[in-house]
Amino acid sequence: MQNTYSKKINIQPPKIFKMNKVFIAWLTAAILMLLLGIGMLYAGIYFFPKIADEYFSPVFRKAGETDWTFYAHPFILAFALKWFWERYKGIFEGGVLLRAIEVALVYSIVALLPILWLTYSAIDVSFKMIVTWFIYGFVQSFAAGLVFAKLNP
Amino acid sequence: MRVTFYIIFFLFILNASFIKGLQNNSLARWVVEKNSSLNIQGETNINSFECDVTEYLRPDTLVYSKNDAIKKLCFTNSCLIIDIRRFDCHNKFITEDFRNALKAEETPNLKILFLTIDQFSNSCNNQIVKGIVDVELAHAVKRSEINYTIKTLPGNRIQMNGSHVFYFSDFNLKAPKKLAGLIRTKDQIKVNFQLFFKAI
Repeated sequence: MQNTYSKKINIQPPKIFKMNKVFIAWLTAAILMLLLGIGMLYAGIYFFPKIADEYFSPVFRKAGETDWTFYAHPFILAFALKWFWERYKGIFEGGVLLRAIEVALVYSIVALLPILWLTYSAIDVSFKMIVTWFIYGFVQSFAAGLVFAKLNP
Repeated sequence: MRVTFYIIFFLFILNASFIKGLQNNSLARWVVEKNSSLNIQGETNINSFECDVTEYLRPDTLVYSKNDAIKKLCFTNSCLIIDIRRFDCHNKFITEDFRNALKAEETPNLKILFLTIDQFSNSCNNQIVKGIVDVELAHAVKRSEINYTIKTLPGNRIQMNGSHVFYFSDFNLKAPKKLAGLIRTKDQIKVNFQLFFKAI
């Protein structure tokens, strides 16, 4: 009888709660990244209009049927970063800020840098534009890292 | 006998009014000079832009009849044709995008068909007159009333300046938008023109 009782005491929280927490962290990070992305784009337009003019280049798709894919990108990025966080969060030590910076650095160096290098080599966009995208990506992943470190430490 | 008289009388009246009409409406021509120019001003949510065509290379002529009584010019088949592919917006991205927005590959010509000009006199110095034109772009025609400033120049030349606000949507065109609409051009554009004619 005692044995059964002690087993009941050690029960883990139901999986549904853990899933809920993960889902909330993903959604929060995605919405935050979307707002940051739009905010940084408008900041880019305000502070660097010459660079932003390049968005009128024919290499960029016209607004239309595929607009939703642009707005969906933070949700996909948040999903990928959340998976990465759940798998490797043990190796990031320190406070919330430090862990968020580490996530941002890993994402920027491992994923962003090579793909932007490839983009620059293949598509007619300026180096300045590529640099702005690198900064956008770094800031977005830092924000996601903050959310994950806070909500799913 | 009486019927024949009436017919002859009617023909006489008709002929007289026709001759009188000819005296009032004299046919004349203006040749469009090469230094005529057209400028379009627009705005995006990033910057404002200007696109110019600074030379008019076609040997076009405007033919009109003038009603001296009311100083009105009525044009017949008189149109200016501007090649959209020659628009230069002084920014390679905007130039290309602007030409695409105007469907330059499908319909490369912007046609301005002159219909009438009111209160025109042969000797005027910065006189403002009203005129009506049909502007054809991308298979759509928009009739507009334009205020011209007319100045007669030495050597039988006429300078005609004017401007008018159009909208991309007037011609069933869409103002360029990129990045899911976050980067966009305003629908309104202002067309300024400076035309030089030689009266012949």
